Amino acid sequence: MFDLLVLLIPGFPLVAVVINGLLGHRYSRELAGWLACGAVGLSFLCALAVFGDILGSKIAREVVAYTWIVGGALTVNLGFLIDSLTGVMLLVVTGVGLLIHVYSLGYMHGEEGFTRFFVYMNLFMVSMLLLVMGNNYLVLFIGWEGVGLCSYLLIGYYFDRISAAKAATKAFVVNRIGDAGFLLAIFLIFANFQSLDYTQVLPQVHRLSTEMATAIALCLFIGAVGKSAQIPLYTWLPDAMEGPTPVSALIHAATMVTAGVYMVVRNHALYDMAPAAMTLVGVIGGVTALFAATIGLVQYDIKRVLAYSTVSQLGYMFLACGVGAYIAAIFHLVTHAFFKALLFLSAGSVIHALGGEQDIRKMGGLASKIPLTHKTFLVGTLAIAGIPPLAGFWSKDEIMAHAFVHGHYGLYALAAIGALLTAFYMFRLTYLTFYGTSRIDPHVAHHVHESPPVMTRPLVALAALSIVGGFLGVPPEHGWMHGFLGSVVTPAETSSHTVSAGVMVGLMAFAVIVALSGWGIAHYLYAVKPQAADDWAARAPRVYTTLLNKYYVDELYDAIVVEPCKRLGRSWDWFDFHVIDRVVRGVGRFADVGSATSTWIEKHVIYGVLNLIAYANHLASWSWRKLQSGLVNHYAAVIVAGAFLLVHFLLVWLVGGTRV
Amino acid sequence: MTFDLVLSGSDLLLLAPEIFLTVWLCVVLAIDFSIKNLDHENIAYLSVGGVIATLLNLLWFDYLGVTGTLFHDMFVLDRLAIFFKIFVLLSTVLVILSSIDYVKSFRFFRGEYYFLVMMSALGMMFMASAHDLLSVFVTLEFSTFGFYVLVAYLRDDVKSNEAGLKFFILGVFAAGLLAYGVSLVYGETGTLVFSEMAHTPGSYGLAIGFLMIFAALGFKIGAVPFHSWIPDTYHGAPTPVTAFLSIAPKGAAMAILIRMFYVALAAFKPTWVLLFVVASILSMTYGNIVAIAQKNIKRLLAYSGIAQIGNVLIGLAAGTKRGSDAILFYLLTYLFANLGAFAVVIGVGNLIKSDEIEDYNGLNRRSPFLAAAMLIFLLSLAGVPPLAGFIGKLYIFVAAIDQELYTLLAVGLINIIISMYYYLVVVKKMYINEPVDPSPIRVSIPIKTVIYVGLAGTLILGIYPRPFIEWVVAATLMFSNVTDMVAAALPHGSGG
Amino acid sequence: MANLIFFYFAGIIVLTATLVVALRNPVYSALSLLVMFFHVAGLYVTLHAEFLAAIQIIIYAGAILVLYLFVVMLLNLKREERFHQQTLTAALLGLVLFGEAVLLLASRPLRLSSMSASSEPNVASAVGNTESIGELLYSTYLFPFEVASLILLVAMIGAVILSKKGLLESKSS
Repeated sequence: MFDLLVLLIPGFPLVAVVINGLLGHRYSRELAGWLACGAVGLSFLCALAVFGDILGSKIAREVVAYTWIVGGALTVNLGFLIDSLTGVMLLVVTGVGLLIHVYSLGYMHGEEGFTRFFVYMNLFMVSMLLLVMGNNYLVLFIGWEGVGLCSYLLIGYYFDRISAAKAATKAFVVNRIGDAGFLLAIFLIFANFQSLDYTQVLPQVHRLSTEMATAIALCLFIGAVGKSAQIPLYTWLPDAMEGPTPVSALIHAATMVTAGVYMVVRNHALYDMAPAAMTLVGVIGGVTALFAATIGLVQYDIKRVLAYSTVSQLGYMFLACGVGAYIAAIFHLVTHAFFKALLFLSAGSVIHALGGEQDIRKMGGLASKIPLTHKTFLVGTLAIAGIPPLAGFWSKDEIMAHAFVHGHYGLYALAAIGALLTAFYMFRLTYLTFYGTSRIDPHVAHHVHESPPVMTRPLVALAALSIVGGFLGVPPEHGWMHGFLGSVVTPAETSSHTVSAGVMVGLMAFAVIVALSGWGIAHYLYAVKPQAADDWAARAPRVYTTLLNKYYVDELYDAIVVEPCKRLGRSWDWFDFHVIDRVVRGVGRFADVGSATSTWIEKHVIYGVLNLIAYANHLASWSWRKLQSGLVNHYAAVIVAGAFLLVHFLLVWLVGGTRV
Repeated sequence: MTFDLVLSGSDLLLLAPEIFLTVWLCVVLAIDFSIKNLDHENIAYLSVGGVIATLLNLLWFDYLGVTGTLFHDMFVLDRLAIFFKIFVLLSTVLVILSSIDYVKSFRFFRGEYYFLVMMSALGMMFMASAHDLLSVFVTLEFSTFGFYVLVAYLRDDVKSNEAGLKFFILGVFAAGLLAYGVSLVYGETGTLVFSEMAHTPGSYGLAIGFLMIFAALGFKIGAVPFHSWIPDTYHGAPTPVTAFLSIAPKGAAMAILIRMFYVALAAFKPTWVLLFVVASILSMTYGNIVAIAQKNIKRLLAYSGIAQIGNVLIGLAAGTKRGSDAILFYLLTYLFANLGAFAVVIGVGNLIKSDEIEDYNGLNRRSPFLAAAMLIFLLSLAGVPPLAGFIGKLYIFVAAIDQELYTLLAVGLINIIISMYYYLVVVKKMYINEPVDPSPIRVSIPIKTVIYVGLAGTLILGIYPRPFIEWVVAATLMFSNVTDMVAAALPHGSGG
Repeated sequence: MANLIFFYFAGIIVLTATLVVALRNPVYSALSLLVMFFHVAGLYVTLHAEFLAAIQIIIYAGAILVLYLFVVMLLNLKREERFHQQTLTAALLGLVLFGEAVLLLASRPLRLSSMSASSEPNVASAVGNTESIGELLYSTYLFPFEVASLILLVAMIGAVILSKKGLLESKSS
């Protein structure tokens, strides 16, 4: 029964994919939409049942669907590992996924390719569930690639936008870089353990040398950096906002991008073995948290601000992993899923109300026109800014406190500045969108309307979760979450630091002060003295434009990676046709001058043979004179040169002292 | 000297698939000659029927475990040979089916087209069984001869003509290298049969001889630096012929390569491993990078094929039982994805008379089925899980890891990233760009069949690869001691 | 003595083969090819392969070369410059390749000589040359022989196909 429930969790969306994908055009779009939502709903119910079971037993269980790959030492099952970590992820993925699916019914209403959208979304759910449920690295990897593929398809969902197409390709290729690292890690793990099952590998990691553990941990982290949009591979995520808003909420905020965090936590035993890798994870996380926040300060696209904020928040999660606060990382992952999904969906509701407008310079004063959206967005802002007692406060505070208590003061400082900036740019966004004078295009203004209930109800649900979600981890370090996950994620150094309550309260108070000052600055700049913001920008124009252009990182990558690759491809292609040809011709001409006296005895070894063959072709009276026959001998020359190189290579190899 | 050939009925049984196919294709040709006004489609289906019958025969052999050697070890029927014969015949069936629409545009010589395709297939079946250098030479030339004609089949098309001429000249050139290599090896060892060579001491002449043979076979599979004929020939040849050329000869030549290096040269493995490492790195990198610049889908697939062969060569570089398993499985995944992709190209090409990637703009609007199929094939070629290509690459890389070829692994992984880019460019054009001409594209039932087979293969090999893995593992069972042989041979290996 | 004869034949073969590709008048090339064929046949005779020598003359000199000459004369080719562009590259490449091969081959004693000296005369003297080739072709080498016959079939059909124009209606112009 338990096994069946587990298999049904990814099974329902998969069935919906097949039915909608093959037969979707036969019935109405509404039916397809509800089928997709229903599948996710059933999946959620199964996940609840499974979760209840874990809650009772607290035992990790494996469920094997079938043996996927066999051959020699490599045996991989399509199997699932159900433990408390998976349980938490399951609820987040199916729960938030369900709400976003329902929301999409309203948001995507009337879009072309409605059924296709839900097929992709369900396929995404299947992949994401495989990712979090798999009991070995390869199943994790299928999920990993699957979510990447769905992300690609959904970012490029709007056919007519060239930018969407570019963003989709960019996302996939950048992710692919991370995937290569991940694959390398998988191969290294296999080479060391002759197995890819978590239960075979993770208890054995202490056998590894520190170097090997570090190598594997870093390779895994490369994968995580790609998927979770950390420096230096974060550039795809802001561009991914070209996709429909529910996609941004589900994939690029709540679930897929957190896969890297999940993977690091899942492999925490490995990271505990590799302090250098841990440090790198923490530093990358901390730097990304601050870096992305600074870019978020000046962006004007409502979704892009949220995207940079996602990058920044993911940075906090990696920072948590880096300082060994794995449970805090998962805790923040959960609360972030709630409030970031809420923020994106609310932003979607705003965009919906304004008929597609995303530029906050053309918003303002929306609080009264779409009150419900305003309230939910405000809840999200308070939660992410870290205003107690909302969800974000507890999880972020725990990460920062853990960093401070364990002596990572540099990381703590990064996180604290990041928190200040987060509070600032989120309230900036709120003020510019909902308060002040309306800057809305008059043609749009009279169409502004609150979204239908099918969209607002998920908002309310997520707002509620964003408010109360934090209490899962209260009191800090000893909340329900910690007890539940403790069986799987044993903290690296348990209770070696006993911290006085005074310090904890002090840190909390400081965090609140930081958040409130961010709010205060935003309030001053965008509510009290609206022109001050421009003054500030004008006072440091270079900083401002650098931030506005996102530190020119995209341009940099284009210049040093993308363009050279393309050019290399083109030039090699061109090389094939021109250079070899020219060089050979040129040398030939040079030779002609020198050997004018002996025209009739020249050693044309290869080309003479070709000559004869060419005569033979006359016999069949082929119209060969029309051909670019000049190229043929050059091709032959390449082959000869190849054979020549082989022999040469052999010679060097043998003379070098190696035996045949 | 006495007449020492003894052939019993049971010996001939080993040749039954070949004999059957020979008779069948002669019958088909005779029918085509003698019955006027016979629709060429009937000839095509007749051919498909014969090939499938041969295929079933081989499957039956495989099931029964029929093995044996003939003609003084020159012809060997083992499970490896059976695997490659099935491989060749499977691709032949798919190619014939996807040719039917194309051949419709011919005014005459329709039946002969199928005859030549089957003849080439027959040649490649012999290649799979060739166990000595003389048979290698003769069977290789046999299969290539059919291709010479097929590539230049469009007699009045300049491109096809040019492709045929280039292919012919360079092919004969490669044959020259092969003959030279064979003669050197014979001079050094005094034998032509692989299994007898295994016991000869190493010598430089032997090494040069085998290098020449490798060059000729490298020409066949299109490995850098023997790839130069591939883009032009693929581009100019009739598309179904390109499809055939891109898969079947590679499989048959790999059969010979595996036999040659695993059986005849097992003792010299430390030397040839580096050869394959270099060839593999060159092929992958060159193929993938040049593919980025391509504007024509056939050229793109040509370069992608060069890169894929680079991946296959990783398996040879590993030089183990697991390496050969991986090669076989990889080729199988490549067969479905590649022929599927070509079927889409043929289907689209028949209608819009163009193979430019630009003309795939908005294919999703014109035919969602073709676009989705192409997407899956390209993703499989790129190695995205859970499609077949991923499992193939996984196997290849695992084989490399076993032998601690980490450089090769790293280069392979980087190449996966590069390849993703140009496959996605095609996907982007199909899914995101606007079509110039939005009229829907419909494909005929035979091509649809091929695409369905390709899709089924790509998905099944990805999701439930187990039976196929077991099959290839069984096919290379004879190599399970290959690593031991190397270890045993090492001490006397320095006697060069 | 035997060595002297060998070097005579070998020298002429190399010289005439070079001339085949070096001469720019195709008729001269063909004629030097003819001379080369005769000398190759001579080499066969010294190796007691009389049958091969005869075949060499009948097929190559008698049939193939005459066909060449026909074509060359029919097309009235005077001088061919097209393929004479890569002289230096080719010569360099060829020289280095040759040098390396010689280096490799010379770096160890040849095993070839002992083997061929002991085995070959036996075969030739015991039975007639032609007869033993026939027997070998139909017994030991039956497989390649039969495959070769299939090649001829393909070549025949192929020649028919390639010699006819107008396969595609639309592009026949």
